[in-house]
Amino acid sequence: MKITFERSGGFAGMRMAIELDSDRLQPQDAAVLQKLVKDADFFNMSASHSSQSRRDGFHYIISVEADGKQHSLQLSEGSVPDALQPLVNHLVVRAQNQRRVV
Amino acid sequence: MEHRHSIYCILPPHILTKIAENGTPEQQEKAKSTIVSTEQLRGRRRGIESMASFAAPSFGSATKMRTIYDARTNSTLPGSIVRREGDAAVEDVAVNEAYDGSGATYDLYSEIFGRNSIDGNGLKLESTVHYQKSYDNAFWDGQQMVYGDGDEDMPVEKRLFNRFTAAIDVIGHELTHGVTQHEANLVYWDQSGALNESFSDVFGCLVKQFSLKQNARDADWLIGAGLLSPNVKGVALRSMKAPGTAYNDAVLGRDPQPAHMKDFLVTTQDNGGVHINSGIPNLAFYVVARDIGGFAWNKAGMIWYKTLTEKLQERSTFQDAANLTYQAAGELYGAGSLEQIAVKNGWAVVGININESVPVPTPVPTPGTGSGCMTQVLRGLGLAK
Repeated sequence: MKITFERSGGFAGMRMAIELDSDRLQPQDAAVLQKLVKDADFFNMSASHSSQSRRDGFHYIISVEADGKQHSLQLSEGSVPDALQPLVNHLVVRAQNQRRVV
Repeated sequence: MEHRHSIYCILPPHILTKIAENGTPEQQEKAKSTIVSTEQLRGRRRGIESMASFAAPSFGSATKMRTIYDARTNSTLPGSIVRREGDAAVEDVAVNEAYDGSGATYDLYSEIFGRNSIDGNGLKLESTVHYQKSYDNAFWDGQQMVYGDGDEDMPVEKRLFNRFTAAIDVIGHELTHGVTQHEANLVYWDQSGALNESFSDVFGCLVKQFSLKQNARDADWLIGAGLLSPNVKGVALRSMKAPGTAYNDAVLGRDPQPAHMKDFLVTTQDNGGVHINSGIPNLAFYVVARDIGGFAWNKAGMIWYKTLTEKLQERSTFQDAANLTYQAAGELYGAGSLEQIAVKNGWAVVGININESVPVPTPVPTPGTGSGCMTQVLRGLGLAK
């Protein structure tokens, strides 16, 4: 399974992005990701979820490629469906950790 | 088809003013609401504050009403109340910063622009701090302000961002999104969205300068100075004076803001780059304020405020903003005035030439307001059957 995650917008307007390949992750990490994608019912989610009233919120693009399927979602923070929130939170934390000064 | 009435059909303002000052309580109320509707028909969304006889204190309770909430690192809004209007400072610095910063923003709008809070009508100012964990952001949700803590839960050597209440201009920026929502309501996409962002940066900066009593020359014109940790190579999140120079860091990248229309970024990210292309109108404002001199909130700020509250429309472009700020400057300070020339120059610096023959915007009647016909006005005042 391959996942690309991109965050844009926010007050600072900065872009943050990661690419994950389950083949290159520790088995536990890969399993966590696969479960999050499954629990989110990702491939059946509608492609776009936007917020009309939020200003300086983040925007996410999540693309998943797995089992020969491919799907991309565009989401505004504040309009993320409940089922997707755990996956979003996980990807944000991974991206932030990758970005932090070591 | 709705019958649109000529403005000549409406009672002269000085008669309504006299009734509003001297009439019976019921006549006063009716006169005041008539003034607001007729000003709206003339294309001014707020008529009261601009009339000297209706300075804020005499028109209802023009005092701030702040409430600060703590989300305790969760996502539920607004959270628990931790400080109310009039309460003493608490131990939690973020709470006090949100309280003081929203107060300072209210004061600028009230003292300089005669505006009673976000909606011009004393709307409560509500802020939530400690939103989520490691939340490197602040936002306006359509009703309240929300602030994260950045990386303050991490050891200093791992931090990129500090808490977002640490910069008073961030607080002014968020509150101004509320003002814009009640005024021009600029669509949050592409050029109108970048204008929306720019107005928030402009008035955010003015709040900081007002609180420090800094003039245009001495101000730093930075947005979010103090939000970046010492680990980041940068001075702020944005620079109005020099877009594109605020930071250049191995981890965060380089400040992507353009300083000229030729570098306008066409993108699908960030709602069409609203936080990026705002650099262009930001620089225009800086140049105008610098060239006029003195305190930027006085003349440059007044031109921008008048434009936001009386002239801009939801889909206004940068060109519209240029034409309309030029028009506003002429109305405030005279055609050919130094102030109007400064506006023309400010936009020219960013590559936009004023179109001087743009008409004064046609007012869009607010749904539900009266028609303004003489008879209906007099009827409304109880002066006709």
